Amino acid sequence: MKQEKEIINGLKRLAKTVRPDQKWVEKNQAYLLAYFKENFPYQKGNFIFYLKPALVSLFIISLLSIGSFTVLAETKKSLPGSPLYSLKRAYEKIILKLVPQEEKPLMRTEIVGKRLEEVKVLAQNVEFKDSEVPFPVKKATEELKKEIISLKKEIAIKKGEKISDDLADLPIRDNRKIVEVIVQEDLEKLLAETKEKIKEKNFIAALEKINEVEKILTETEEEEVLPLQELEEKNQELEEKEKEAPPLPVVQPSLKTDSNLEKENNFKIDLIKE
Amino acid sequence: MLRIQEKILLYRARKGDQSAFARLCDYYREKIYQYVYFRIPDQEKTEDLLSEIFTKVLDYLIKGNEIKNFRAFLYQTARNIIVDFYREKNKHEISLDEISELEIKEEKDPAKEFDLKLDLVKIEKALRRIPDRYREVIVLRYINELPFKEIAKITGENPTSLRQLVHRGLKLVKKYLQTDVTK
Repeated sequence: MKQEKEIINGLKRLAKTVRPDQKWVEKNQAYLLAYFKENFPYQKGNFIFYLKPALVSLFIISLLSIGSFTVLAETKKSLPGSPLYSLKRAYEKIILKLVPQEEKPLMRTEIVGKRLEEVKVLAQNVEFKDSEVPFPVKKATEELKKEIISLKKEIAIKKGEKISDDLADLPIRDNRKIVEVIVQEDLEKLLAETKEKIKEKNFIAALEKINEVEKILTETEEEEVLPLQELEEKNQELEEKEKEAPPLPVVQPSLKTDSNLEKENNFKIDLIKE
Repeated sequence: MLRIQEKILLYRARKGDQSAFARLCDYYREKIYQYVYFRIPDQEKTEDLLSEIFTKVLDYLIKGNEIKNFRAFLYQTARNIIVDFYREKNKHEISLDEISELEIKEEKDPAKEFDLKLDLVKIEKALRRIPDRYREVIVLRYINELPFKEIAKITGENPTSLRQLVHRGLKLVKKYLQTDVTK
């Protein structure tokens, strides 16, 4: 076995010593090329032959580019609930990070506009059942609120102010009303004006506009809005209570002497006691 | 050379690119030379046969035929030309049956163990003495360094038979080397 290995090694070394003569190689090469040319004429000037692989590569690249542009276009149109929506949000975040600090408020305004647009489209297309807000619309509304807070902060930073998250959760009593409020044209108009002010670098005015936006959104917080039926029931309860309770005594105005003042005070105390 | 590179060069050669064909010839020239050199007794004829091999391959391409495995095709063409050469020369080959009758006595005496690391000339001589059938496979395996799978495509034998041929061939080479030393 060992000897066989030695023979094999010997054969491999032998292979290195057996080579054709270089002069003969050159002669043979020239002969073959001449034979080739004679019987197989070289296609001169046919540069397309060499361009073919390059053309194929270019075609594949263009197909991929078109594919990616299509995906990008679809991503931009996507709404909450769509598989491409998270991609859209990620893309916006990346752009925000890349944009210089000066242009961030403007970028945020555009994002707020996009969120508003999404709520608008969803509210128009999604079916409302029993005055309940469908989950996609609710989510879109939440996102819009978050973006407005972010925008407000961004503008405030420019103005040199600190803003807290004072856009509290809206009381969801009559959900339909909130959706109607958000879809108002006024809001869109205000956002457009905010954008203009940011472009002009008039951050004070931009902040005022955003405050107005906030006001529109928080209007429903001040009014306790109840469904009609509940309102009627509450009114009835109040009326019944009023009937049961005795009427308050009528207090005649008198001259304010010391004794009268004392009496007044005592009367007040009595009232309090009652 | 990668298979894909070979395919591209072949494609270009078929379309009339002579530089592609030249590159293919350059790559395989040395290997085919070694293959032919060890298979024919007349060493001077090696260069002529080699020219003939490449010309035949070129003719095949010019006719517009497709070659799937250039290496295997080249070796098969070389084989056919060598067979034609032997037919012309009317050389006598020892058949496999005759070989099996020979008593290959292994040298058991450790004192007579020889050093095979010396003479490459002796190895070549011993290689030329063994029958062509064994020699061919040994040259393809250890000189051209082809895998058994590739050799099977060239010779038409199955890998198991090829291993047996190699083993028997090496035994004979060893025997001839030993007899050479004892002379």
